[in-house]
Amino acid sequence: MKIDRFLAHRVYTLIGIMALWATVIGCRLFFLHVVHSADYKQRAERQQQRTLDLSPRRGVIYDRNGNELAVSVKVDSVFAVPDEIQNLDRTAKTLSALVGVPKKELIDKLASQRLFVWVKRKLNADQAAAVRNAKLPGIYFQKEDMRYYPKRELASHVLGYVDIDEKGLGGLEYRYNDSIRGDPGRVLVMTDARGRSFNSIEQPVAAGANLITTIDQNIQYIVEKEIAATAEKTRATGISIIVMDPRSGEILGMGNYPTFNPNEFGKYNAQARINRGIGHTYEPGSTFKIVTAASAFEEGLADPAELIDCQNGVITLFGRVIHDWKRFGVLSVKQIMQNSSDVGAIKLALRVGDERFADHIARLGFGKPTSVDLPGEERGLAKPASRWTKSSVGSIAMGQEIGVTPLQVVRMVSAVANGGILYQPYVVKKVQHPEKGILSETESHGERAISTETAAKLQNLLEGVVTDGTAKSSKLDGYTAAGKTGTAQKVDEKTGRYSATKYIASFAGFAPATNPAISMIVVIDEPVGLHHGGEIAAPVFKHVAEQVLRYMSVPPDVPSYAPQYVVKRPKPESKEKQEREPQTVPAGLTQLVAMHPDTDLGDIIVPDFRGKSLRQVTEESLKTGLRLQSIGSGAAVEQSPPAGASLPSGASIQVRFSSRVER
Amino acid sequence: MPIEIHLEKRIINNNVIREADARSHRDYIVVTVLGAIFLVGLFIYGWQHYRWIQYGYRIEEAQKKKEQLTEMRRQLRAERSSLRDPQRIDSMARRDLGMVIPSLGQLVRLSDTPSAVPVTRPPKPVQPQEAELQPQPAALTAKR
Repeated sequence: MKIDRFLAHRVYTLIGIMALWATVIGCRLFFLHVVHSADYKQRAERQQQRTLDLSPRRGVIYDRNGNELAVSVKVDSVFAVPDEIQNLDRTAKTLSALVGVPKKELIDKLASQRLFVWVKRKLNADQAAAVRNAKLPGIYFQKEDMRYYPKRELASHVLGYVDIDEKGLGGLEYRYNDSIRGDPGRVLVMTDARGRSFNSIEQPVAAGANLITTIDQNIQYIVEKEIAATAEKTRATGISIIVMDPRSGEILGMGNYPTFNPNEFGKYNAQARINRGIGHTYEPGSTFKIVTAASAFEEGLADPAELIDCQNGVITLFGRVIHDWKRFGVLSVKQIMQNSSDVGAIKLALRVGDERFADHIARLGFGKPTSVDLPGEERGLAKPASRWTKSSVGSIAMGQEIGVTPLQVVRMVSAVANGGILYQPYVVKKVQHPEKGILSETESHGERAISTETAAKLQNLLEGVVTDGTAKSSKLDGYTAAGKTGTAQKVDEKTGRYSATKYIASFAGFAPATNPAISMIVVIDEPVGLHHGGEIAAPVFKHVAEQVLRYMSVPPDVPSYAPQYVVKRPKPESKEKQEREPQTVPAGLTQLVAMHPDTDLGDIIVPDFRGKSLRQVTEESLKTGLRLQSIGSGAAVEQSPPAGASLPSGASIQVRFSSRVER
Repeated sequence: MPIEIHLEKRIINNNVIREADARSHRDYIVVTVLGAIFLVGLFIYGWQHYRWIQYGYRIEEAQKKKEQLTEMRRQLRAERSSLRDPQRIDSMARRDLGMVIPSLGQLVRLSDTPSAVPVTRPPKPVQPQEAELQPQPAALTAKR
């Protein structure tokens, strides 16, 4: 019995211990699974899972030929987890030296109670490598997109810029922000004990749409190069040049001075970031006489050949005496435009009358935005006729008392160039999504503003301005051109009167005059020294237009500048030399010499070139030893001298080409 | 001292044949098979879980690699775009290669087939992906 009791005691003890053990385990499990469940679950998730936010990738902005103007690239941003930082002072000191953030600012950030603080966002590659090498505890990296403008200042006012969070703040970046920003994604990554990820669940990033613009980067470069040269030469406070396709309203190039680099836009003042091409309202001066003449022609109240008495350059308009820059007598309307006579323009406007003149001004797009797809466009200042004073018609006729933007003027000039259609200007041709395809495509949209007859008359008048008028300095090499100069006095803000020293010089025109491929405006604000449009703006038009037309392969339409080719005869070598050395003719000449080995280049019978292509005519001219002057493109339709005439070698022959069948 | 006598009784049961218990034998086989099936299932589960994790590592690595390559491609395109900056090309052509802009007569485009309309429009726009095939405008010519 004693033994049994002892055994029972031991068994009970064991059971008690086991029960206690089970109770302890149970309690522990209760605390782990019930009381602290959420905390441990969170800790486990933090250890085993990572949620990464994927920033949306902005679409690319291309020029019309597919060259990237704005792209997004991944860069490192560095952040800290304050809880994990061991030595605050040392970490802040090291980071400050590496990323260029003040130490005090870093200490404030790192000492905060937050789980996550940015140290510096969007580091350059060297900084990121340096921070990574420092291996600081509690310091981590996050990849972020950074907008990069590889061409720097090129088309900066058109492209705009973005803030640190990739939000568009100007230009196309702002205007098309919703289309090109994309949508953010998220990825849940599961990791093992060593932190290696082995599975992820993704909510993918929706890429932003790409923009294909009408800008041609080479035309844009030509524009900006000439702007820089003009700024240096004139020391102007502002310059704008816009190049437009007059047959569609596409903007091929738009540049301004001052300019900025969108990669570091914060370093520039707000003035430099303004797109003066659309956001600068100015009094156009004499370029507005195009509108005056157009109104008179439209109303049938004047004709280019009609003579008008310019009253020795003085006119009194409701008590206001207006002087011409020169004492003009009787001038034809064409001469009024050529000489930019204010009195002549005022007389034309007086014929039209306030109401109808105001109506034509509105029809040609002034006083309202052009609706170009760029932000920050000014509407200009064009009062309705009811608010005009008695002398307003005279002022407006010569480009005063009215405010315009460069884009409005070039649009109006384009209408003259294309036969009377006022197109809505645009910069974006297509919005193209990488997966969904084309989201939108811009079609040219225009309305007739003036008749084709009026446009033809104006084209003739404006060509006369370049050939015989105030814009002789805009005469192009190889191309005809048409346009109008403008010199406007600026209003002095202190006195409220027209300044005697501050001017806006401008030139608006198109080329070639016979078949316009481009229209352009040049506006120079407050030039120092020379200030007439014909002196400083017209030459800029010439320089830009010549380069742009050549780049666009527009065939020259001025005979005297047509390409010339000449056959070079190899110099006869001495017999001794010929015997001594084998013949070594430069590769370029071998072919020519071989073509006419026995020609003595004496009298040449001119071949019949008609119907042949430029290539055929060029080759035949080279063979026969004639200098070719080609005009136009297409098939040869006319030649001078005619076929069968005999010419000495090296004589010039002029051949006109045309793509139209001529009978 | 008491004397204890042990009488050894030898039991010879060699000739006793144990009756086979068919039921327990069947139970034994069933348990063994079930155990085997369980173990195989467990092994298959363990193996596939192991493979799942291994493939997970490989997929993650491949995805990282893909992202890296995609990013590198983007960066290279950006760099190419930067190198194609007309200003850079212009200054290099002038400064380093001594090139000048050709005069009007020096540059002529020949075409065997006359076009229907005069070629005065800007170059035809191309899709971005075709852009790399486009030649850059050769607006400069060697100075003689």
